[in-house]
Amino acid sequence: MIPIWLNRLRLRLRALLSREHDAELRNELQLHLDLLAAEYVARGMSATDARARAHREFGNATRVQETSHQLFTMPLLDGVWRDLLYALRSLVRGPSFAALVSVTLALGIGASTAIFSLIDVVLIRPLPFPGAEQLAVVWETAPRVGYPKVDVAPANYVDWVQQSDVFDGLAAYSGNAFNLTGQGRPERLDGVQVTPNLFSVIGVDPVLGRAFLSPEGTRGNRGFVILSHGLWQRRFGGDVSIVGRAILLNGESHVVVGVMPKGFQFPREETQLWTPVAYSAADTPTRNRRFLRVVGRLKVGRSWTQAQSEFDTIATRLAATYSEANRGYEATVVPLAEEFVGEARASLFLLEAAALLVLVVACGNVAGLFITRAIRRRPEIALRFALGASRGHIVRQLVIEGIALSATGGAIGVVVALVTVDWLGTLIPPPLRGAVAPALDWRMLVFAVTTSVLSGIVFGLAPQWAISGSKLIRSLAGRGTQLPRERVRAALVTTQIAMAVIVVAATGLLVRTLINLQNVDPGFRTENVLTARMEVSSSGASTLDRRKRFYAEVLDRIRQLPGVVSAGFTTFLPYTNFGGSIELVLREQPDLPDAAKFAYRREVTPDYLTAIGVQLVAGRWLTEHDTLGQAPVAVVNEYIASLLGSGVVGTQLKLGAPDTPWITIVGVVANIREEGLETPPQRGTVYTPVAQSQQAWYFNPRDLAVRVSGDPSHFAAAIEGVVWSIDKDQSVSNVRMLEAVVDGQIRARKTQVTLLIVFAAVVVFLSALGVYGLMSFVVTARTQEFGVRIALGADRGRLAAFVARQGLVWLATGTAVGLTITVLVSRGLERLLYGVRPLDPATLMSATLLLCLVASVAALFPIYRATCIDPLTALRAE
Amino acid sequence: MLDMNDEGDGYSCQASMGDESRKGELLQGTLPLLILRTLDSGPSHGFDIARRIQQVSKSVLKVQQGSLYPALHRMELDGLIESCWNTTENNRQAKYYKLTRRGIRRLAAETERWQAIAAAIAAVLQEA
Repeated sequence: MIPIWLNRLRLRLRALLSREHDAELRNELQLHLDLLAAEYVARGMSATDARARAHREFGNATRVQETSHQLFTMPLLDGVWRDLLYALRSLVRGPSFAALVSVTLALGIGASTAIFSLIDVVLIRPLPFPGAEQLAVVWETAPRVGYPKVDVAPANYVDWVQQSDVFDGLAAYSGNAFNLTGQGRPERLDGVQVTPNLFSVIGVDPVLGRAFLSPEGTRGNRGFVILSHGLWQRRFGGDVSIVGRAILLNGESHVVVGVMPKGFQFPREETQLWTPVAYSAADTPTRNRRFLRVVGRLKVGRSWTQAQSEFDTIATRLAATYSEANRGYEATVVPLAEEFVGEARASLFLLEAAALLVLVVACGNVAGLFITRAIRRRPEIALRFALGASRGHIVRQLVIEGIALSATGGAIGVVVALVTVDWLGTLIPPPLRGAVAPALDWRMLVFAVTTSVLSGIVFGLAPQWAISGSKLIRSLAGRGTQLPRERVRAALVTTQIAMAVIVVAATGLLVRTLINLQNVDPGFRTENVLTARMEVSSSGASTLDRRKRFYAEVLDRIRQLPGVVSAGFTTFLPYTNFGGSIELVLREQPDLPDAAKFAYRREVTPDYLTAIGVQLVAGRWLTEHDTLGQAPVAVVNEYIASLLGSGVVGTQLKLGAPDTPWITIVGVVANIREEGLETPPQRGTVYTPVAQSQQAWYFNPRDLAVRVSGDPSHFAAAIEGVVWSIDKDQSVSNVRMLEAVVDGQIRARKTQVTLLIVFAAVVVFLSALGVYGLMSFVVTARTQEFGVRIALGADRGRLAAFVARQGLVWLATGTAVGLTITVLVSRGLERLLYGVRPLDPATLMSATLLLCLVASVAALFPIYRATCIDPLTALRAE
Repeated sequence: MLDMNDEGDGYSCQASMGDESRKGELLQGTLPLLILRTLDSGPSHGFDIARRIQQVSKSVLKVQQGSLYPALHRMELDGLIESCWNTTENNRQAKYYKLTRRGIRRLAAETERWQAIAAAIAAVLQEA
């Protein structure tokens, strides 16, 4: 049996929602009347008499109907429903008001929600590893040489493992690239060599098969591989029997021992496979080669400070013991979350702050709009008071109107957020890309809806607060339009201007940063250059010869393609790898400053430097004649030249171990910003001809650059064709324009700046609207007063000046407050800026001027209207 | 004990007996009982219910329309009866009411209660 309350609710809802209910009630009573009349007719009365009799006997049908009707209504809900309809009707009557309010709110709510959901996944939620808050990255660091974070030498890693006690496990890994061959198209895969304990340190087990076991990874015992879920699905069709089978990586057989779960990525989204490597004291040749990343799980109960102080001790001891390799090197423990998120934190907080300011300004505007509107509606509200509407009823109706509007705004805001959140993906820091997906979950939805409904209640009540009941009655009489809440509105507008100054100034600083970065001369010409990466396998005795032959053949064939200007290979293109440095010794300058003791080493083919458009400053280029039989030569960058003073060409340098031969410098080229657009060249670079290379090793070229005339993208297929016609098993990856490589440096900033510009535009627009609204309000309110003044002979120009002066006071207050806050908080922006100081006077002044200009234009129309008041009309209105 | 002044189910409607006087005032809460009893013999519409109460009581009890319909609607809200539109013998649309399970149970309880009260009152009157 259904409960009584549910039965009542069902019937009442039906009565509320169906239009038939009242008709049914009427019909029911009508039938009764008709049957009654029929009885009298049957007794011989005339039809008319019978009906009259029936009516008399029945009594007051309307009262019966009303009594019954009330039974079926829910007084509160019914009232709300009526108010809602009323609200909708009055909003539809003023659609521009409704649209303005909803869109304003939608922008604020949408933007802040979208950015907050990004912050949620990037900064608030733990990394996608179990117990991620205990994970840390340990770096070597060489502060005196200007390296805040250095990869770890294997021998130091081995010592760390033996000597440290704060970690439950310390795993190491190093990036590597693998060519997958033997089935289908050859493919270059981003992979990582890991110590066997890596997966247990991170705390994620393979979904299929097993993790690496301890003996795996020692020399001669490395033919194993664990696949990512994506690679397993894509290349092996998700075949479960893959475990135990061998695949060809870099031409060598590797047994698949496991497959990682879906969504697991470490250390990058691109990482597709892991191979084992083990380091031991006996098997780590030199401390001078640093190429490992180290990750550890902090023991429960240990603090980060304890970990850091333990590693300080260990590093000091190692520096003393192995002074040649470790002098000046320390160690630093960085929580993994901090390591992964990095710079993004400041950027995201800035955007969220801007979005919230937009929301605040939007709310201010909406409040202003409501106040104006309420004052315009005073006669109507006063009439309703007079007709007996209760104060509570009128408040309720205003609140419902506010809620209706803000809920619409909230709904549109959710749509805005949904659209932007995908686009915001570029703001996710690279190590987290792919692992986290910002999605508007229910909490965000609740946030948006709460914000909008709360603002609805506030805005609904604000007008009520602006009008007191007794004054309302007076306004019925057509008097008393004197505006009590001018100051409230002025405060709102002043706040808006202040907020706008902050947002515009911050945007200005970041726009200038972006422009500065775009204008940075990277040291090479990016246009019309196509690049590609070709990882060459490292097996076989004749590898070096084979590689050299491969480079020569590829370049030979590419040069024959019509439209190709020049082409060359290098170890790493700028920005594609920040490592690859080696000790530098200058014969003429044995005492180098610490920072100069390491230089980037790039093995190149002769045309590489001309292909990417580097300037030759002195001496000559490398040529085809610099071969193995000739004296070793090198081209250095200006940084090294500056160490030597004049007469650089002809002097000699040495790279790496002391037993390597001296190399003669034959040319000097301009500096390239190797480490990033924002980092000025602060390190030497030595270009040596690959033809003179003596080893098949890490420094052999893998990146190709081809300068063409015309659109480089048309050459992509041709270049792949050339490579595969020479070696069908050679992988070709990262085919993209050099411009795209450079653009990758500022892509996140572009998104950030675009967002900020949108916010700034919205805020400026809203403030202008606020100023316009306020001034119109002032002028309208004083129409009669001005009319009288004009009639008495006041000068129209002075009237305008009077109005304008008031506006100026508000504007000046707003900008002053805004500037003060900007000055106080802009230090926080310092880390995000390049080439511009947080208190850059030009930017702050421009922001202020822009606001003043826009506000003045907005104020102009109402002021003009004040001068056009016709005294007759104004007075007649009274 | 039974409380005579009990307003029953909160029905405040009254029916009057006959045309002439106030002596026919129906005790509060009795109209719903009469309606329930009438509907016990089958679904019926408002006019019919009123007529049948009149007939069965040999015109002693005459139900006022002003009370009948609000009572019916309240009983419907309380889930004692339910309604549906149907055609009468004269081919007119009428709202028919019939008992629900809750109504059948209530009828039994109320009948018992009424008989107890009636017996008690009779006893008091005879003694006095």
